[in-house]
Amino acid sequence: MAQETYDAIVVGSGVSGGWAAKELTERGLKVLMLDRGRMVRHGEDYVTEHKAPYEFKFRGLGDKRNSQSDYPNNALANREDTKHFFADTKLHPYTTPKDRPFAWTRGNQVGGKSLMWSRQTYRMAPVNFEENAIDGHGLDWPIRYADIESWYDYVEKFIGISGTAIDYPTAPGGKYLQPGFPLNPIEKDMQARMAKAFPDRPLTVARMANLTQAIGDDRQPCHYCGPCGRGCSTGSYFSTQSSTLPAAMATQRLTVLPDSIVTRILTSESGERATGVEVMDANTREKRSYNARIVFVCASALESLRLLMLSANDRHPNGLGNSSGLLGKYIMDHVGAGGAMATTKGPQTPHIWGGRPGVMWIPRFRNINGDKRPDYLRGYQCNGIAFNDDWQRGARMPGIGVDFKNTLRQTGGWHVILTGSGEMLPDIGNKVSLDPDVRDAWGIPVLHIDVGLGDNDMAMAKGGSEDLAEMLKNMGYEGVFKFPVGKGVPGTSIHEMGGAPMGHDKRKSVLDVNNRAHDIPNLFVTDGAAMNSCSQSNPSFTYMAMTARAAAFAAAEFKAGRL
Amino acid sequence: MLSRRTMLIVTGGAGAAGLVGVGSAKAVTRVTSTGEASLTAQEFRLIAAMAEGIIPKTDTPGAIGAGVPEFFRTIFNDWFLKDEQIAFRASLKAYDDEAKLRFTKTFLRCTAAQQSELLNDWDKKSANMFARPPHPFGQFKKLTIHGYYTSQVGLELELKATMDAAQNDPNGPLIQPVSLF
Ligand SMILES: Cc1cc2nc3c(=O)[nH]c(=O)nc-3n(C[C@H](O)[C@H](O)[C@H](O)COP(=O)(O)OP(=O)(O)OC[C@H]3O[C@@H](n4cnc5c(N)ncnc54)[C@H](O)[C@@H]3O)c2cc1C
Repeated sequence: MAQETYDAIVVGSGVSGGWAAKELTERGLKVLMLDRGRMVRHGEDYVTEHKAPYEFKFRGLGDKRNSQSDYPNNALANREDTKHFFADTKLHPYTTPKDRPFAWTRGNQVGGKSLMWSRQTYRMAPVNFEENAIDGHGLDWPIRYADIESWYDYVEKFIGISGTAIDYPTAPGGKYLQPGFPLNPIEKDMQARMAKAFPDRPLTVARMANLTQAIGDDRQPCHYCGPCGRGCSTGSYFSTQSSTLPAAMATQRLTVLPDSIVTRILTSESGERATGVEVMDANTREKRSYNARIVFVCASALESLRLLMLSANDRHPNGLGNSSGLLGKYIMDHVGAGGAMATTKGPQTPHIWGGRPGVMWIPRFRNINGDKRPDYLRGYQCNGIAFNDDWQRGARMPGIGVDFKNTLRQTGGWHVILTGSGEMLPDIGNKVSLDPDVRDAWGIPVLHIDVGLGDNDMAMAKGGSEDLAEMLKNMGYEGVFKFPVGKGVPGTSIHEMGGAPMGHDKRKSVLDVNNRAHDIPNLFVTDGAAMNSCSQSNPSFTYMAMTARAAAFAAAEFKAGRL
Repeated sequence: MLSRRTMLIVTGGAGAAGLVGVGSAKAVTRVTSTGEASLTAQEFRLIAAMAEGIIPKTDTPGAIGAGVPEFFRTIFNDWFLKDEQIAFRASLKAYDDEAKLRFTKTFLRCTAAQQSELLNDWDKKSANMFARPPHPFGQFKKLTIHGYYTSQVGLELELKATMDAAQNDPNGPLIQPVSLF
């Protein structure tokens, strides 16, 4: 086994790993960033980026015979234009109890899911850091909003977030926001109706890590080409490739190794320090190891937990950093908190091939500002869209022939949709562990994911659905239709997180206030695994801010000779 | 409605028919990866005629001119699962059987008016969302529409969809639609 030494090793190169690499290198450390997946070069490797629909064999219907996933709610993994960014679950299986399905979506390549995400970028609000302590669900965060606010600002300024700053308790921040994407006339009308019917619930354009103004030469404003998830060579879309990786590379202190599966984190004999990592070459399966003074685990929440469990040794028999027994517990995702749709009138529009990258947003308004729900704790935020029917309505319309064709030449009626995305309560019963029987294509034990929605989650989904339908009705829309609330499959929001809770007390948490394992002070976990609650906000902004904060701490400790 | 000219093209006349003919001849010899035989020339012509009946040539090309029959062949050969291939093939036979029953000739030999009558009839039947199994024409129509409006002809000539329309709309841009894939 070859041995090479770095100041820090970063496992994973997605949203979190990219930030760890940038911060650690910019603060002077020599860093090795390892990713299990292939290299994806910015621009060159976005092979479907501006392709027209007719350039795809099945024209967007997906390749049914070569499905990449038979797990529930994983349709994205089979899309013809983006499937090459989604992990094939036949190679990367996982198990669940029969009655507790879970949808786990991974992006295993350099850039991780930063190449696939929808880029809605919100802070957690002050209340989100307090509610675990207030209502007793989950473990109290060892930090409050004030501890992370400046890091949110720092990230906001660097990555470029477009949106609107509003004075509302669950919509903090916005000092460095770029102008938001403009709303279309139907959305503007909806905004006006909302302001009249619900003046206490602001509706505005989503905050997006998508540029409306250039940052330097290599990150240009969005040109509305449409399918953002195919890769964005203009760098308008925040990804590791467009943003954090170039910054880290510019320091000349970063080495990136793709196709390198970290199979174990190595520790000293006493178990008190991480000494490096063991890596399997994804192609040759050859093993090698690398040494470092610091290890940052950023493999995405559940993969990070899996790695910590796979790294169990004599000193850490239940997985690294698990003296509390809490590793893998309190797994969360966001709850689909209902949806409703209505029709409205609007202008004829041209047929567009492309479009604006973001939706509309209503920050959480439940259980804040004096509102108190009798049926559930915490709350949900909403997204909205206004769109008009296109040719696809033809499949639902009667008729054939010339008149039919001429009708479809025009765009159709307008609709508005509101959907909710809610906080899933942290619950110790929602957990992951290593499956003793099943292995992935590289012979590595897979995760057993045992996670389900609880009563509070279901009550919020039901309540949200009713709220949204009521909102549309009170705004004066016609034909309001409430989406049925199903059982819900956790993981569907692709915001899986938790499992390595932070805290001050090492008996009651896995990580300390700076994201390092209580048991191993040079081992940091800064992705979604470190979340004590999921809030109502899309989470990646928080992972970035937490990672930047932890990396600054680690670099300072390193320079002071304490790591 | 199916014009005489379309009928000529479909049954192997000039222009686009050349393509249709060549493609179908190749298709007969092929066995798809499920083990099912590929579409026969006869089946291919039936598909073309039905698709053109749904989206005919007007001031812009219809289904045939947009390559919808070829899209069906791709779907049949490489996309349908085996049971779907079998069901689809059976539905093609059923369309012809019904044409024979009503007009004593295959769909392709029916007059344009007869074809139109049959297609309209199937369209009405397939509109019943509660029918189990659903009438197969619903799927046929859906694939025809999908094949047509995602083709270059459908997008660029018929819909005049342009890539930067969203950016240039003075009213403010629309959210990216899923409908153009
Ligand atoms: C379609 C979609 C839409 C989304 N929309 C949003 C949104 O609007 N807003 C939002 O906040 N979030 C969104 N998300 C979620 C967001 O993508 C994730 O929260 C974010 O990417 C997590 O960052 P991460 O660094 O923890 O993990 P990732 O970005 O997944 O990166 C993890 C990396 O680690 C690598 N890795 C894993 N295991 C190993 C190992 N053993 N050895 C070496 N490397 C390893 C992987 O290959 C991967 O590159 C979306 C996700 C998807 C898929």
